[in-house]
Amino acid sequence: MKAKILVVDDVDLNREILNEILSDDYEVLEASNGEEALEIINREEDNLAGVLLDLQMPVMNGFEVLESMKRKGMLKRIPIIIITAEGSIENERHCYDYGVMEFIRKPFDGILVKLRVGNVVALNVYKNHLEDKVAEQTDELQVQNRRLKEQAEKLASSNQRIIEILGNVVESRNLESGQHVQRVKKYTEILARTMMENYPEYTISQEYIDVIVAASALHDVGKVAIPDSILLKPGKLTKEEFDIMKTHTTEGCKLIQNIEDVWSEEYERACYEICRHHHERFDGRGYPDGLGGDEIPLAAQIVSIADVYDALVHERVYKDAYSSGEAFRMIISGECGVFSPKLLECFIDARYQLEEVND
Amino acid sequence: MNVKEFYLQTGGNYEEVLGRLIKEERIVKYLRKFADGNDCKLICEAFENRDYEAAFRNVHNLKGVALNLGLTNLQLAASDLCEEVRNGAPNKDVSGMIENVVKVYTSDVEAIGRIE
Repeated sequence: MKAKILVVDDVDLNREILNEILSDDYEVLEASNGEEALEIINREEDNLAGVLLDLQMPVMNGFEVLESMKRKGMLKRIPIIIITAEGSIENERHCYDYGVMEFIRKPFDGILVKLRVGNVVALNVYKNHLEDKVAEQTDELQVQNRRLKEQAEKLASSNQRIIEILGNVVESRNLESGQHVQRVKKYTEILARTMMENYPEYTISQEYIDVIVAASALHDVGKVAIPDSILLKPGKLTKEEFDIMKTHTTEGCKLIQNIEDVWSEEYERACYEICRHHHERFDGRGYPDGLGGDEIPLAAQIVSIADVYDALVHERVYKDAYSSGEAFRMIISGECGVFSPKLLECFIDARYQLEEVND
Repeated sequence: MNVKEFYLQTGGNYEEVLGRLIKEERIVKYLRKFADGNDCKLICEAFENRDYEAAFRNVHNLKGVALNLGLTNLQLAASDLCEEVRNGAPNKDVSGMIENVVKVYTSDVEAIGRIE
């Protein structure tokens, strides 16, 4: 079936000439003024491959046709080729402003008209095809996106679940009170957010904060491998006992590494970093690896100071509770080991919020 | 007189018209159709009735057809008159221009009649 082309010209002879030129390749419809043209355009909207439009016509001129088509949003779909003896540059620009595809001046060359109409029609078919294709692909992408989102939600919930289960193990052995874990999570969130605000160069995102807050719950998971005799010893540990105690960092990592392919990489990584490095110190004098400065993962640095602060302000089997003011003094003065100066600054900035957690 | 000779006589460009209409038979067909039309009569009537809108439209059309058919002299005559009535009533006496259009039109139509 041939594509349909509408020729709009008030001069019979012009229409006939164009009809003859185009009829080999198209089914040519004719209109002798703008009003007739609009009638056909409305009727054949979905079938028209193009419109050849004269400007100067009785009843309704070419510009009025363009205006009406523009209002109905038809100019985007049906390509217009102006064929006119009104050859001023001004008119030509005005037509292109409407979005016409071609502006041909009379007298036209038959072969060129044929070629130009062919180009415009082919381009438009391609464009419409492309738009359909894009719409189709957008639909597909949306479906895939939805699926990905569902999977991400599933994964996030399984990440949380794993952390919860491990957290329960820690709690059930009375290794740390449930409140300690909850408070460390809160301090971690406050400190991480203060870091994000004070130091944009760390490019900490809200998503990352969510991950390290969740992962902070497992900082001491490795304590499940430490005998109660050491863990619950009221007095000072001997050097040998302390060496065993230190292995809670690496033992925790073994545990986390065994949970493979179940949770997302970023959760696993954050848990691993926090578990292994939350006893490292900025001057390299911590354990287990003696990392220094920003070699220590940021997540571990944040949880480290949160853990120390909570240990200070609450009673432990081996010590009484300090006041928050005393705890701040001890941490800032370096009595509990050296922390990153930037992190300390955030710790001081966030003092009021940190103290609120204990109220 | 053949079509080429017709264009030589009326001052048009045969090659250009052939480029437009592609086949010589088509040129003859449309020249004859043009000769059978009443374009000139419509123009004269519009001016007689001082209907300058119709006058502009009809002269404009004649100009367009003359362009398409390569009737260069007629196109030039119509073009001058067309500009005078583009914005309604002319600012000067256009009777000479109208006569000129009628003269060239009549002579072109006569010449078309002699094409074999």
